Amino acid sequence: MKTIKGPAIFLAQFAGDEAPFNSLDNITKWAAGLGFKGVQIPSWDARLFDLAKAAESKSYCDDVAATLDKHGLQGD
Amino acid sequence: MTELSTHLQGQLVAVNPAYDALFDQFAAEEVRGNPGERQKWAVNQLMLAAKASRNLGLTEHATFSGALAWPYLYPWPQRPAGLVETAFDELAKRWLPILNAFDAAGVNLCYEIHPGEDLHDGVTFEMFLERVKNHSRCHMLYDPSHYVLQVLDYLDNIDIYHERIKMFHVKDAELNPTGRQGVYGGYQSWVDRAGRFRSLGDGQVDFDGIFSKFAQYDFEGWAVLEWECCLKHPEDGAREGAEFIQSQIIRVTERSFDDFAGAETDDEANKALLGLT
Repeated sequence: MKTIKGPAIFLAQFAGDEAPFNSLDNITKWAAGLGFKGVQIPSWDARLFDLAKAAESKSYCDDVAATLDKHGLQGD
Repeated sequence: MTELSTHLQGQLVAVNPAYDALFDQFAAEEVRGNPGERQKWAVNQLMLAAKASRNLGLTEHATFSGALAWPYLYPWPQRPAGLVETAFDELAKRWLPILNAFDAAGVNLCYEIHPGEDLHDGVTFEMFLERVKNHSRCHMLYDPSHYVLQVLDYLDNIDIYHERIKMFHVKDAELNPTGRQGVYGGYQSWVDRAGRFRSLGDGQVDFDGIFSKFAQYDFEGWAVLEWECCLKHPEDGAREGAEFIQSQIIRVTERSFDDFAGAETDDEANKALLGLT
Protein backbone atom coordinates (compact mmCIF):
# COMPACT_ATOMS: atom_id res chain seq x y z
CA MET A 1 0.00 0.00 0.00
CA LYS A 2 1.06 3.59 -0.61
CA THR A 3 0.85 6.64 1.64
CA ILE A 4 -0.45 9.74 -0.16
CA LYS A 5 2.04 12.61 -0.33
CA GLY A 6 1.36 15.98 1.25
CA PRO A 7 0.27 18.40 2.37
CA ALA A 8 0.92 20.52 -0.72
CA ILE A 9 -0.64 23.76 -1.94
CA PHE A 10 -1.66 25.12 -5.35
CA LEU A 11 -0.19 28.62 -5.57
CA ALA A 12 -2.57 30.05 -8.22
CA GLN A 13 -4.91 31.69 -5.70
CA PHE A 14 -2.07 33.07 -3.57
CA ALA A 15 0.37 34.67 -6.02
CA GLY A 16 0.22 38.45 -5.84
CA ASP A 17 2.18 41.69 -6.08
CA GLU A 18 2.90 42.00 -2.37
CA ALA A 19 5.48 40.05 -0.37
CA PRO A 20 5.57 37.19 0.45
CA PHE A 21 3.37 36.28 -2.51
CA ASN A 22 5.37 38.06 -5.22
CA SER A 23 8.23 35.68 -6.01
CA LEU A 24 8.93 31.97 -6.01
CA ASP A 25 11.51 32.37 -3.26
CA ASN A 26 9.19 34.34 -0.98
CA ILE A 27 6.03 32.33 -1.54
CA THR A 28 7.71 28.95 -1.11
CA LYS A 29 9.28 30.14 2.14
CA TRP A 30 5.80 31.19 3.30
CA ALA A 31 4.24 27.86 2.26
CA ALA A 32 6.97 25.81 3.93
CA GLY A 33 6.47 27.84 7.11
CA LEU A 34 2.85 26.71 7.22
CA GLY A 35 3.86 23.06 7.06
CA PHE A 36 3.40 22.39 3.35
CA LYS A 37 5.82 19.90 1.82
CA GLY A 38 5.16 20.63 -1.85
CA VAL A 39 3.82 23.36 -4.14
CA GLN A 40 1.85 23.13 -7.37
CA ILE A 41 2.86 26.00 -9.64
CA PRO A 42 0.62 27.89 -12.08
CA SER A 43 2.75 28.07 -15.23
CA TRP A 44 1.08 31.30 -16.45
CA ASP A 45 2.12 33.45 -13.50
CA ALA A 46 5.35 35.25 -14.48
CA ARG A 47 5.85 36.40 -10.90
CA LEU A 48 6.61 32.80 -9.97
CA PHE A 49 7.66 30.91 -13.07
CA ASP A 50 8.87 31.25 -16.68
CA LEU A 51 7.33 28.43 -18.72
CA ALA A 52 9.22 29.07 -21.95
CA LYS A 53 12.54 29.17 -20.11
CA ALA A 54 11.73 25.97 -18.21
CA ALA A 55 10.96 24.20 -21.49
CA GLU A 56 14.39 25.01 -22.95
CA SER A 57 16.72 25.35 -19.96
CA LYS A 58 17.55 22.51 -17.61
CA SER A 59 19.68 24.89 -15.56
CA TYR A 60 16.67 27.17 -14.96
CA CYS A 61 14.71 24.10 -13.80
CA ASP A 62 17.59 23.16 -11.51
CA ASP A 63 17.47 26.69 -10.05
CA VAL A 64 13.70 26.35 -9.43
CA ALA A 65 14.22 23.01 -7.71
CA ALA A 66 17.05 24.50 -5.62
CA THR A 67 14.79 27.36 -4.48
CA LEU A 68 12.17 24.87 -3.30
CA ASP A 69 14.78 22.64 -1.75
CA LYS A 70 16.24 25.56 0.19
CA HIS A 71 12.92 25.93 2.02
CA GLY A 72 12.51 22.21 2.63
CA LEU A 73 9.95 21.66 -0.12
CA GLN A 74 10.28 18.71 -2.44
CA GLY A 75 12.26 19.88 -5.47
CA ASP A 76 10.79 17.50 -8.01
CA MET B 1 7.31 20.87 -6.84
CA THR B 2 4.33 18.54 -7.06
CA GLU B 3 3.17 19.46 -10.57
CA LEU B 4 2.94 22.35 -13.02
CA SER B 5 -0.49 23.61 -14.06
CA THR B 6 -1.77 25.04 -17.36
CA HIS B 7 -5.41 25.48 -16.35
CA LEU B 8 -5.76 28.83 -18.10
CA GLN B 9 -3.93 27.84 -21.28
CA GLY B 10 -5.77 24.49 -21.53
CA GLN B 11 -9.05 26.36 -21.33
CA LEU B 12 -8.05 28.22 -24.50
CA VAL B 13 -7.42 25.06 -26.52
CA ALA B 14 -11.20 24.98 -27.06
CA VAL B 15 -13.43 28.03 -26.57
CA ASN B 16 -17.03 28.30 -27.69
CA PRO B 17 -17.53 31.72 -29.36
CA ALA B 18 -20.06 32.64 -26.63
CA TYR B 19 -17.09 32.80 -24.23
CA ASP B 20 -14.55 34.44 -26.55
CA ALA B 21 -14.56 37.82 -24.86
CA LEU B 22 -14.50 36.57 -21.28
CA PHE B 23 -11.72 34.01 -21.77
CA ASP B 24 -9.59 36.36 -23.87
CA GLN B 25 -7.92 37.76 -20.75
CA PHE B 26 -6.34 34.33 -20.10
CA ALA B 27 -4.19 34.70 -23.21
CA ALA B 28 -0.95 36.54 -23.93
CA GLU B 29 -1.65 40.10 -25.01
CA GLU B 30 -0.42 39.62 -28.57
CA VAL B 31 -3.08 36.99 -29.40
CA ARG B 32 -6.08 38.57 -27.67
CA GLY B 33 -9.03 39.30 -29.94
CA ASN B 34 -7.86 36.66 -32.41
CA PRO B 35 -9.39 33.28 -31.49
CA GLY B 36 -7.42 31.36 -34.13
CA GLU B 37 -4.03 32.68 -33.04
CA ARG B 38 -5.07 32.37 -29.41
CA GLN B 39 -5.77 28.68 -29.87
CA LYS B 40 -2.37 28.13 -31.52
CA TRP B 41 -0.73 29.99 -28.65
CA ALA B 42 -2.58 27.80 -26.12
CA VAL B 43 -1.52 24.57 -27.85
CA ASN B 44 2.08 25.78 -27.90
CA GLN B 45 1.87 26.58 -24.18
CA LEU B 46 0.84 22.98 -23.53
CA MET B 47 3.73 21.73 -25.66
CA LEU B 48 6.10 23.89 -23.59
CA ALA B 49 4.54 22.52 -20.40
CA ALA B 50 5.29 18.96 -21.50
CA LYS B 51 8.97 19.82 -22.01
CA ALA B 52 9.16 21.89 -18.82
CA SER B 53 7.61 19.07 -16.78
CA ARG B 54 10.20 16.66 -18.16
CA ASN B 55 13.03 19.07 -17.37
CA LEU B 56 11.70 19.43 -13.84
CA GLY B 57 11.48 15.67 -13.34
CA LEU B 58 7.69 15.78 -12.89
CA THR B 59 5.39 12.88 -13.76
CA GLU B 60 1.96 14.59 -13.74
CA HIS B 61 0.54 17.81 -15.19
CA ALA B 62 -2.73 19.67 -14.46
CA THR B 63 -4.93 21.37 -17.05
CA PHE B 64 -8.48 22.09 -18.25
CA SER B 65 -9.98 20.55 -21.40
CA GLY B 66 -11.68 23.73 -22.61
CA ALA B 67 -15.19 23.50 -23.98
CA LEU B 68 -17.10 23.70 -27.25
CA ALA B 69 -20.43 22.21 -26.12
CA TRP B 70 -20.82 23.75 -22.63
CA PRO B 71 -23.33 26.46 -23.69
CA TYR B 72 -25.61 23.56 -24.72
CA LEU B 73 -25.39 21.76 -21.35
CA TYR B 74 -29.12 21.94 -20.74
CA PRO B 75 -31.18 20.22 -23.45
CA TRP B 76 -33.49 23.15 -24.07
CA PRO B 77 -33.88 24.06 -26.81
CA GLN B 78 -33.55 20.53 -28.09
CA ARG B 79 -29.97 19.82 -29.06
CA PRO B 80 -29.55 19.14 -32.77
CA ALA B 81 -28.60 15.53 -33.47
CA GLY B 82 -24.83 15.12 -33.63
CA LEU B 83 -23.96 18.43 -31.96
CA VAL B 84 -22.31 16.89 -28.90
CA GLU B 85 -20.59 14.18 -30.94
CA THR B 86 -19.12 16.78 -33.29
CA ALA B 87 -17.90 18.85 -30.33
CA PHE B 88 -16.15 15.88 -28.72
CA ASP B 89 -14.67 14.72 -32.03
CA GLU B 90 -13.11 18.17 -32.46
CA LEU B 91 -11.97 18.35 -28.82
CA ALA B 92 -10.20 15.00 -29.15
CA LYS B 93 -8.63 16.06 -32.46
CA ARG B 94 -7.16 19.17 -30.81
CA TRP B 95 -5.84 17.35 -27.75
CA LEU B 96 -4.42 14.20 -29.34
CA PRO B 97 -1.16 15.84 -30.52
CA ILE B 98 -0.77 17.39 -27.06
CA LEU B 99 -1.31 14.03 -25.36
CA ASN B 100 1.32 12.56 -27.68
CA ALA B 101 3.76 15.32 -26.71
CA PHE B 102 3.17 14.53 -23.04
CA ASP B 103 3.75 10.85 -23.78
CA ALA B 104 7.07 11.71 -25.41
CA ALA B 105 7.96 13.65 -22.25
CA GLY B 106 6.91 10.77 -19.97
CA VAL B 107 4.25 12.88 -18.21
CA ASN B 108 0.58 12.14 -17.47
CA LEU B 109 -1.84 14.89 -18.56
CA CYS B 110 -4.55 15.27 -15.91
CA TYR B 111 -7.74 17.13 -16.82
CA GLU B 112 -9.38 18.76 -13.83
CA ILE B 113 -12.98 17.60 -14.09
CA HIS B 114 -14.74 20.92 -13.70
CA PRO B 115 -17.93 22.77 -14.66
CA GLY B 116 -17.41 25.04 -17.64
CA GLU B 117 -15.25 22.35 -19.28
CA ASP B 118 -16.56 19.75 -21.68
CA LEU B 119 -14.90 17.24 -19.31
CA HIS B 120 -17.08 17.95 -16.27
CA ASP B 121 -18.09 14.50 -15.00
CA GLY B 122 -17.26 10.82 -15.46
CA VAL B 123 -19.44 10.34 -18.52
CA THR B 124 -17.91 13.25 -20.43
CA PHE B 125 -14.41 12.06 -19.48
CA GLU B 126 -15.28 8.65 -20.96
CA MET B 127 -16.65 10.26 -24.15
CA PHE B 128 -13.32 12.05 -24.55
CA LEU B 129 -11.17 9.07 -23.56
CA GLU B 130 -12.83 6.91 -26.19
CA ARG B 131 -12.07 9.51 -28.86
CA VAL B 132 -8.39 9.74 -27.90
CA LYS B 133 -8.31 5.92 -28.14
CA ASN B 134 -7.80 5.34 -24.41
CA HIS B 135 -4.59 7.34 -24.57
CA SER B 136 -2.19 6.15 -21.89
CA ARG B 137 -1.46 9.77 -20.84
CA CYS B 138 -5.11 10.89 -20.54
CA HIS B 139 -5.99 11.13 -16.84
CA MET B 140 -8.14 12.95 -14.30
CA LEU B 141 -7.47 15.57 -11.66
CA TYR B 142 -9.99 14.71 -8.93
CA ASP B 143 -11.52 17.65 -7.04
CA PRO B 144 -14.53 16.65 -4.92
CA SER B 145 -15.79 20.23 -4.57
CA HIS B 146 -16.93 20.20 -8.21
CA TYR B 147 -18.81 16.96 -7.62
CA VAL B 148 -20.61 18.10 -4.45
CA LEU B 149 -22.03 21.08 -6.35
CA GLN B 150 -23.48 18.85 -9.09
CA VAL B 151 -24.68 16.12 -6.66
CA LEU B 152 -22.35 13.49 -8.16
CA ASP B 153 -21.33 10.54 -5.94
CA TYR B 154 -17.69 11.51 -5.43
CA LEU B 155 -16.74 8.36 -3.49
CA ASP B 156 -18.21 6.05 -6.11
CA ASN B 157 -16.29 8.15 -8.67
CA ILE B 158 -13.01 6.99 -7.09
CA ASP B 159 -14.16 3.34 -7.18
CA ILE B 160 -14.92 3.70 -10.89
CA TYR B 161 -12.00 5.84 -12.07
CA HIS B 162 -9.13 5.26 -9.60
CA GLU B 163 -6.89 3.90 -12.34
CA ARG B 164 -7.27 7.20 -14.24
CA ILE B 165 -7.07 9.57 -11.24
CA LYS B 166 -3.48 10.79 -10.97
CA MET B 167 -3.95 14.15 -9.23
CA PHE B 168 -6.02 15.41 -6.30
CA HIS B 169 -7.12 18.90 -5.32
CA VAL B 170 -8.19 18.95 -1.69
CA LYS B 171 -11.01 21.48 -1.75
CA ASP B 172 -14.22 21.70 0.25
CA ALA B 173 -17.72 22.79 -0.78
CA GLU B 174 -21.30 22.78 0.37
CA LEU B 175 -24.69 22.56 -1.31
CA ASN B 176 -27.58 23.91 0.72
CA PRO B 177 -30.64 23.85 -1.56
CA THR B 178 -33.71 25.76 -0.47
CA GLY B 179 -37.20 26.33 -1.80
CA ARG B 180 -35.78 29.26 -3.75
CA GLN B 181 -32.67 27.83 -5.48
CA GLY B 182 -30.64 24.69 -5.99
CA VAL B 183 -27.82 23.45 -8.22
CA TYR B 184 -28.18 26.31 -10.73
CA GLY B 185 -27.75 28.96 -8.06
CA GLY B 186 -30.27 31.50 -9.29
CA TYR B 187 -27.58 33.71 -10.97
CA GLN B 188 -26.47 34.69 -7.46
CA SER B 189 -22.96 35.61 -6.28
CA TRP B 190 -20.79 32.92 -4.68
CA VAL B 191 -21.82 33.98 -1.19
CA ASP B 192 -25.51 33.72 -2.00
CA ARG B 193 -25.45 30.53 -4.08
CA ALA B 194 -26.87 27.27 -2.66
CA GLY B 195 -23.66 25.63 -3.85
CA ARG B 196 -20.44 27.32 -2.88
CA PHE B 197 -16.77 26.58 -2.22
CA ARG B 198 -15.50 26.59 1.34
CA SER B 199 -12.21 26.32 3.19
CA LEU B 200 -11.13 22.84 4.27
CA GLY B 201 -13.28 21.48 7.08
CA ASP B 202 -15.97 24.14 6.65
CA GLY B 203 -17.92 22.35 3.91
CA GLN B 204 -19.65 19.02 3.41
CA VAL B 205 -17.01 16.89 1.67
CA ASP B 206 -16.37 13.53 3.37
CA PHE B 207 -12.56 13.67 3.34
CA ASP B 208 -12.30 10.65 5.68
CA GLY B 209 -13.98 8.66 2.94
CA ILE B 210 -11.82 10.11 0.16
CA PHE B 211 -8.47 9.61 1.89
CA SER B 212 -9.51 6.04 2.79
CA LYS B 213 -10.33 5.31 -0.86
CA PHE B 214 -7.00 6.72 -2.03
CA ALA B 215 -5.12 4.62 0.54
CA GLN B 216 -7.09 1.54 -0.53
CA TYR B 217 -6.25 2.14 -4.20
CA ASP B 218 -2.54 2.93 -3.68
CA PHE B 219 -2.83 6.54 -4.91
CA GLU B 220 0.78 7.66 -5.40
CA GLY B 221 0.22 11.38 -5.93
CA TRP B 222 -0.03 14.47 -3.79
CA ALA B 223 -2.83 15.86 -1.65
CA VAL B 224 -2.79 19.46 -2.93
CA LEU B 225 -4.81 22.14 -1.16
CA GLU B 226 -6.72 24.35 -3.56
CA TRP B 227 -8.08 27.25 -1.62
CA GLU B 228 -11.20 28.98 -2.87
CA CYS B 229 -13.60 30.20 -0.20
CA CYS B 230 -16.20 32.93 -0.38
CA LEU B 231 -15.97 33.72 3.35
CA LYS B 232 -12.62 33.00 5.01
CA HIS B 233 -9.34 34.92 4.64
CA PRO B 234 -6.97 33.03 2.30
CA GLU B 235 -4.05 33.02 4.73
CA ASP B 236 -6.24 31.43 7.40
CA GLY B 237 -7.50 28.96 4.80
CA ALA B 238 -3.90 28.02 3.92
CA ARG B 239 -2.71 27.67 7.53
CA GLU B 240 -5.74 25.63 8.59
CA GLY B 241 -5.60 23.67 5.33
CA ALA B 242 -2.06 22.42 5.95
CA GLU B 243 -3.08 21.10 9.37
CA PHE B 244 -6.30 19.64 7.99
CA ILE B 245 -4.57 17.68 5.22
CA GLN B 246 -1.85 16.47 7.57
CA SER B 247 -4.54 15.13 9.89
CA GLN B 248 -6.28 13.35 6.99
CA ILE B 249 -3.23 11.62 5.54
CA ILE B 250 -3.37 7.92 6.27
CA ARG B 251 0.08 6.42 6.83
CA VAL B 252 -0.72 3.02 5.42
CA THR B 253 -0.14 -0.12 7.41
CA GLU B 254 2.76 -2.43 6.60
CA ARG B 255 1.03 -5.55 7.89
CA SER B 256 -2.41 -7.03 8.47
CA PHE B 257 -4.06 -6.04 11.73
CA ASP B 258 -4.72 -9.68 12.59
CA ASP B 259 -1.17 -10.92 11.94
CA PHE B 260 -0.72 -11.30 15.72
CA ALA B 261 -3.18 -14.16 15.59
CA GLY B 262 -1.94 -15.56 12.30
CA ALA B 263 -0.78 -19.12 11.67
CA GLU B 264 1.93 -20.53 9.44
CA THR B 265 0.79 -21.70 6.04
CA ASP B 266 0.24 -25.44 6.11
CA ASP B 267 -1.30 -26.93 2.96
CA GLU B 268 -1.89 -30.29 4.62
CA ALA B 269 -3.67 -28.67 7.56
CA ASN B 270 -5.80 -26.61 5.14
CA LYS B 271 -6.83 -29.75 3.29
CA ALA B 272 -7.71 -31.39 6.59
CA LEU B 273 -9.87 -28.39 7.53
CA LEU B 274 -11.71 -28.74 4.23
CA GLY B 275 -12.12 -32.50 4.51
CA LEU B 276 -9.93 -33.11 1.50
CA THR B 277 -7.49 -35.60 3.01
